[in-house]
Amino acid sequence: MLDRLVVRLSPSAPYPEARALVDRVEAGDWAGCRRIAGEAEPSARTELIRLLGEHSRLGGLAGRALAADPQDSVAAAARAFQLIHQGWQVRGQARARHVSARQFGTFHRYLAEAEKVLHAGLTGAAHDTALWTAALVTARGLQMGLDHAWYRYESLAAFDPHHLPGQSHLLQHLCPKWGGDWAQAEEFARTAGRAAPDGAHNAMLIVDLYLEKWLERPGGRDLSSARARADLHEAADRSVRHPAFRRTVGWVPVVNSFAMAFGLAGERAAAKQMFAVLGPYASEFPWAYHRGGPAPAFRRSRIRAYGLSGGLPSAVDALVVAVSPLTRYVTS
Amino acid sequence: MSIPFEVDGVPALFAESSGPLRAGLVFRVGQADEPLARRGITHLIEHLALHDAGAAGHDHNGVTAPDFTVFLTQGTAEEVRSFLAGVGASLRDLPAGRLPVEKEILRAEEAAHHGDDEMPVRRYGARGYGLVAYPEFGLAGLGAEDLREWADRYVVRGNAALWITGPQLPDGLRLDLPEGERQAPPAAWAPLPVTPGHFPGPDGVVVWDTVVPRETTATVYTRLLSRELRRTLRHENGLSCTAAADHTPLADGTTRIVVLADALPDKQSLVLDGVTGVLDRLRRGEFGDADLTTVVEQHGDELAQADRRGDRAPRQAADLLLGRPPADLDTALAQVRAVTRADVTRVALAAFAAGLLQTPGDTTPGDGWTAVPAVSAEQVAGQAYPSLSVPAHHRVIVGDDGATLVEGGRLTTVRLDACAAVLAWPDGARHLIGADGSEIHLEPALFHGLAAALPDLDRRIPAGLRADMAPRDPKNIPRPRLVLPTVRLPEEPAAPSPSPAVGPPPSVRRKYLLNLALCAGVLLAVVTGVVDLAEIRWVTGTYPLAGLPAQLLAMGLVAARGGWALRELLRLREAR
Repeated sequence: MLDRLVVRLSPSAPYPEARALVDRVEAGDWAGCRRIAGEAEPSARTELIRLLGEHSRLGGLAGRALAADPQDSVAAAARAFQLIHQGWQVRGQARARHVSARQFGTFHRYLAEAEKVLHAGLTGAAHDTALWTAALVTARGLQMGLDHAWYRYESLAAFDPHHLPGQSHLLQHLCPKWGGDWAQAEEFARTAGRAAPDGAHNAMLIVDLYLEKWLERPGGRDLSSARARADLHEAADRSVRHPAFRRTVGWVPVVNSFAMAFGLAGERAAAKQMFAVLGPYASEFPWAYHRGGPAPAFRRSRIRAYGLSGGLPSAVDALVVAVSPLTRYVTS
Repeated sequence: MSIPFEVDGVPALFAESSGPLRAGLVFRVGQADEPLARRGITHLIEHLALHDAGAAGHDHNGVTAPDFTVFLTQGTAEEVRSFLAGVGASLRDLPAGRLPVEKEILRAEEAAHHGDDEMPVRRYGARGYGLVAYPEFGLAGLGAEDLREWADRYVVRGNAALWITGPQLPDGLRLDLPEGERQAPPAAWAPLPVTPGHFPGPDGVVVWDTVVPRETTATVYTRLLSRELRRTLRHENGLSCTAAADHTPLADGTTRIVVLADALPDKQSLVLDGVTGVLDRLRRGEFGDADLTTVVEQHGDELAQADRRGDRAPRQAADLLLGRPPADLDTALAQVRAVTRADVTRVALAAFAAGLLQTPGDTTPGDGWTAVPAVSAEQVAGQAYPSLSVPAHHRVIVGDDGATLVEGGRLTTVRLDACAAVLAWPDGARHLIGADGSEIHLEPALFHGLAAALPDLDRRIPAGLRADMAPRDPKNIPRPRLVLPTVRLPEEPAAPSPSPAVGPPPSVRRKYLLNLALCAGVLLAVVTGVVDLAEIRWVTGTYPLAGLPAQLLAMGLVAARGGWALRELLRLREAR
């Protein structure tokens, strides 16, 4: 019951490994960070290292570790993610036309620095999937073009063919907002989403594709068509609703994507099921696509999913949404 | 004129000549008989056998050819006698102590001589006469036992022949060789699936190669071909400095004909057209009678001259080992003179049909030639190990059946059941050579995870195919060189301070402050009694906040808002 009253946006809260990692960061213990990252599966490892890089208390820890041991690929990846994150903070989340030239200049310099770190890291550890994932982000931010993105993705896929963090970044790049087109994005999302084993998180790619389309035309009927709903259900059956679905690092954004997409598609029962799975855990993505910030968007969608059966928790949601401002600066 | 005789059961022939006394002991064994994994074993035995003879002062030499091995000497009758006795004694008891030194000598010899000639492998694969093109892989791994076994089979009395030429036959010759049988010639040549075929080779040279049955006409054809090539490419057009055809009779009953024509980079397509043009003309019978007559006469003259010098004896001795009776000069001359235009055209047609053409750079011949496929169609089933240099496109697949190298769209497969040799370095690298000549280099450092797969592969290597190589200098072990294209990056250094002054714009802070102040103001106003909630009248005239629960709820909302603004402000401070 209490879980339904709060919304937890912290990206590390849902995962014990991530909480341990944050602990180690705050203690300034790089060896501990490395050990925790090293014990994780490839996708989870990439997510953990990204979390590490984006953590506000990381400071110079990764940079110093990298200077001490240039072969340390965890440090290289964390440093690259940190630079990317800092660059993106300067740029902001807005579409390119709302970003000033000066912001872009700084943004590109940060990404260029990250790219250098990645080159050095990959030269020594070409098999590191976290480095390749970060390289996909720099390729997108520096607008290298889809050829570069595909080359990097194929390099990544050679070592882990179902690396969801990298696939998500490539999907972003394949969308028209980053210079791709819907046909390519759709083909990739479907192929990669279906290639993964049952219960894997990768089916989220198809959901994300629909959310991207919705973001492009919020009033459009892309999500409420019969085909879209069938796709969403099929994807859910293969991942979240599959008995083999595991709550490994990264599961929260997956279920959040399903929750938001089912909500937008008007599939209330399915959305309700997703919220039940989630409990208090919301993720920045995809709720940040709504105006007003992720938490209120999450609560609003949850109210609609539960409808009259929501009871007190829904009332609390309604109350909190009512007092939330329409815009909110997101700190992570 | 050659006179057959016998020395201790070894067939021999003596050719009287005006020159010095020379002798050659020939064995029917050569590079084409060796398993690829023991490549070099015959050469090594030849060197060991001649080591003792090196102490004597007179001229001697050894030659290991594709299908024969010869021990040669020149000197007085006594020197020839002692040379033959010495070689026989060495072959009976190979000086195994010399093994390390001779291996080093062979390695140095190879480094100086080994070229890279792709043609034999293209034609024969990694077996028979194709083995000639490979380095002596077996050297490092060969032990005294292996040599003994090989010598007992091939370097024996039944497999030997002797020739002697000079003013007169020395008496008292002895050949004390180990007992053994005559060995069959290397397996007969199997026609290639695609001929006349072409494949790309290095710049600057056109090579054409064919195999025809061994006969006098093939020799005449080769001479005619050589003459035509020289005339077309060198004298008329000045395109090539070297343009010639050469022929080698082989023990399998065929003659291999090879054309070489060099070309300047900007003239190579003209040279290619010249070579294919000449081949075409000859097979259509478009050559002058005068040319044919000249060539026949030249060949006859050279035969007669060679006979006078005793130079035909080595070939005749080799023929003895193949069971061919040595033809005397008159018969040979008659055969040459009997060659007609129709004979030459017939051989030219057969030669053209079996031909393989190596084209320089990116040139291609005209119609009538088929490209020899360079790509294997199949790949083995197994685990893929991505390259650490070009992970996107290159990988090796290692499975139970063998290995496949994928380089973009190019596949190379070596199956273990059709494998000629596996070279094995102590540092873990493996090199697979398929019977068809395809090669895969498995370098553990260059492919992710491959090192763990190699012990399993080692266990599946068929017996006798493994060639252990000498340790490599660690400097020569390749390292991956990642190919990661990027764009030109901004020149200015980024501000790579650990935590740069990145934060929200000041307007955000102001907004939160305003929220906080307003809420605090309202609460203060209510608490101090400046505003009485119960007195607030709605437009309809009612008092909505008259009751305590309503008042508490309203205050709760304002307090929540204030609390939220305060929390966000604190978060902003933290982020800074």
